[in-house]
Amino acid sequence: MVDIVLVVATRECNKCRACEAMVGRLLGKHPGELSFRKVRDDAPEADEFGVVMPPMLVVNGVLVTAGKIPDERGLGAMVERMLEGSKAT
Amino acid sequence: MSIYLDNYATTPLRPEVWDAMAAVEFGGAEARNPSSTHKSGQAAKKLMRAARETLADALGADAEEIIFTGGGSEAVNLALKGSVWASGLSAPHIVTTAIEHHAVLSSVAWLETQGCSATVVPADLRCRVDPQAVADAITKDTLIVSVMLVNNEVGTIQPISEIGAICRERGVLLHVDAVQGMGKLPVDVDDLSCDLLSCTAHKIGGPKGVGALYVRKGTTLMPLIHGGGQESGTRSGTQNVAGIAGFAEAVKLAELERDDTWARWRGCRQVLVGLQDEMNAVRVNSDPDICLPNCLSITFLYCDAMALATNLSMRGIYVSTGSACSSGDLEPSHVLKAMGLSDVACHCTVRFSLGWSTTRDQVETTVAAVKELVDMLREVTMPEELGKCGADCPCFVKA
Repeated sequence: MVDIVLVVATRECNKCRACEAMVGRLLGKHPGELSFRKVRDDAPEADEFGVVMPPMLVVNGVLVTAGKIPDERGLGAMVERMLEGSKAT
Repeated sequence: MSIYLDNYATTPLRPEVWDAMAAVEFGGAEARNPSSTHKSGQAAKKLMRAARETLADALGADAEEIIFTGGGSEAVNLALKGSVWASGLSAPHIVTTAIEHHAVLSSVAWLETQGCSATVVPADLRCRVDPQAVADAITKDTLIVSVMLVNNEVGTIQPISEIGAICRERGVLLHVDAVQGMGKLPVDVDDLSCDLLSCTAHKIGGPKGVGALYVRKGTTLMPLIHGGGQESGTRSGTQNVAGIAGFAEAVKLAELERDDTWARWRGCRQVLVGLQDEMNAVRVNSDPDICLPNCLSITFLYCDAMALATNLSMRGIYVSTGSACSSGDLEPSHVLKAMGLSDVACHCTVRFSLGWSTTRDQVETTVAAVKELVDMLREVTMPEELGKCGADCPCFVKA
């Protein structure tokens, strides 16, 4: 299982929506293998990530991007590698 | 325990400084307001005098030439606005550089709205200002030149003595922003040939909210703050006696420990510089030949610096980036841009700045974390077609 958290702005911008859509496509590609939470940047949980600039994408505790949309192919590869790692263990 | 490598932003307060400050407030002398005529006032005045002498000694100045302020930015504002206002000129010209701190650049920009004109001299790829460019920028209307001693993002030491000689010859004032240099470098105002020099306590283990301006005898300034006429009438307001005593203690320690501190910083810098050899597409922007050893600006191309810094922060390692939040977006650093770094490179740049408490172990831990995180983050942000970029690759530097 790979844990994905998306920290979005209280007033979501286009980048927040684009990030969420990207995560949606990943969830569709890996049904049941990913957990996903969307957190607003003013929520207590967001403090743990040291909010800098939403959207922030956190994958298995690693902040992948802040304030920008990640490269979809790169993100997919990272998630697949993490899934393979978790299956191996 | 966290690892604090953001000492160019501010430094942790030194315990010795805290003790010196506590002694002012809670010591037997009961030092209070130095303007008061009773014993506790006189005790405060005595402490202020000692602190002023400590600072003056460190700068090669006389105690009467030191004006205490509420910080480095106030000192800079007083130097620039105070000298322009005191000049009585309707449209004086100011020369400064593209790599100055915003305290200088914003003050100059404001003075331009009040009728002044300004010339901003560029810097080279090593973040160094050419003294000849400063000389060329001086006109018959130039009142003052303002150049920093050490750059706050890259650590480059500027050729102030050469610039000072030019200013002296051309009959214009020289203000030196020594906020990042004082206490770290030996500073002598006569060697620098400067008329005004700003410094602050909190970059060398002193308290925040305390700074000073050196004002050469014969240089006139109009005060920013009017009131009780403290600080020889140049800066009114009851002095922060405890803070000033702390500033003096921090200066004493910095001067006393400089050689040992530099040796430790140099060792740490070697560990950080090693990242350039051990990883692809890494450029060290701070040239060891002309930079203070406690500042390393490093570009990790195709790794988002904000993401890197935030992940390091989540692990208790604190650094800063070459971008700043501005109007809801990330603005590349004006210093890195002035050096010629591309916007992409600016967004991939991290500043590691070492302080009095930094250890080699801390830096080694940081380097290990950086390697792991950069490799991971590049998977998401690094284009597949990227090869091994060298330090002169156009990915880093604008053609």
